[in-house]
Amino acid sequence: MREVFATPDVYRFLNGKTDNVRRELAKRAADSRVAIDRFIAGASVTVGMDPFDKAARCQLARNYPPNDGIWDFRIRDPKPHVRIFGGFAERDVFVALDYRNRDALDFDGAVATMVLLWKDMFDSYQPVTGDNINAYLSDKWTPV
Amino acid sequence: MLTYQISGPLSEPEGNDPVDPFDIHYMGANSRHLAHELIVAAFKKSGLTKAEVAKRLGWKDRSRISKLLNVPANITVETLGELLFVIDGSEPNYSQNWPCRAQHGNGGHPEWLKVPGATTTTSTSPAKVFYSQEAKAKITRTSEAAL
Repeated sequence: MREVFATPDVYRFLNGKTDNVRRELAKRAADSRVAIDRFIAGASVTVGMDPFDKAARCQLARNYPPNDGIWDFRIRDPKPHVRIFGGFAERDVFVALDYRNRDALDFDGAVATMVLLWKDMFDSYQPVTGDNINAYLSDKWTPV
Repeated sequence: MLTYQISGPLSEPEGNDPVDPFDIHYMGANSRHLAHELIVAAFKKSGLTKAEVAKRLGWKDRSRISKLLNVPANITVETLGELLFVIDGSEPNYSQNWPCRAQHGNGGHPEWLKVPGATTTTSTSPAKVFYSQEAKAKITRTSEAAL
């Protein structure tokens, strides 16, 4: 069973009624929520372990530097794309920390911010790291 | 850490009020994902290659198959029917479901989130999206401004 925990900002976005997000964001919010819901429901997910070498269709990608344990859900429809950043607290448990517009996104800066957010929330409890994909997801993943 | 399980994202349409655009887009995207999962499951179970499926369909361009299998594209009902049939002879089974009325019990919490007095509510969607009260005070940035 997969679970996703979200910070209030991410939660408001994923629960994107027009009183929570701007009207023009509704479609991107809805697509993001569906992606997270299908992930939780156990749908097969394409995973990119290499931050610099992954398929465009990759749905969940690890960011550089890998040792920071920061991943992002790639919401590629509609444009502009959305990235939901977070880390795995344990296998099959993803903590969504924040989200960004993909256009002109400074990934290094975003990852650094996520590391701080994680530390702020969990102190010394570190996100899952390492190159073994089974440490992050128990099943239904496809490396791309 | 006090956590809450939040109710589902959708509201049952009623009366003459416009339905929230989020709800409309959510159901459209969800249908797209479900159709995609149906196709991918049938394809994986069949043991066929993309080239073989393309051949069965009479398509010369294998990349069209790749595109359909790789991402939850907005395919037509007609394409869904054709694709499932050529893969394994099946057809989609259409029936109605009412996601706003479905009740899903709470799942377990990971050990690191189990605390005395933690409150949960029953979700009306398949999602288990939680948030931390403590984080609310700590994270002040308005995410909307980031989009």
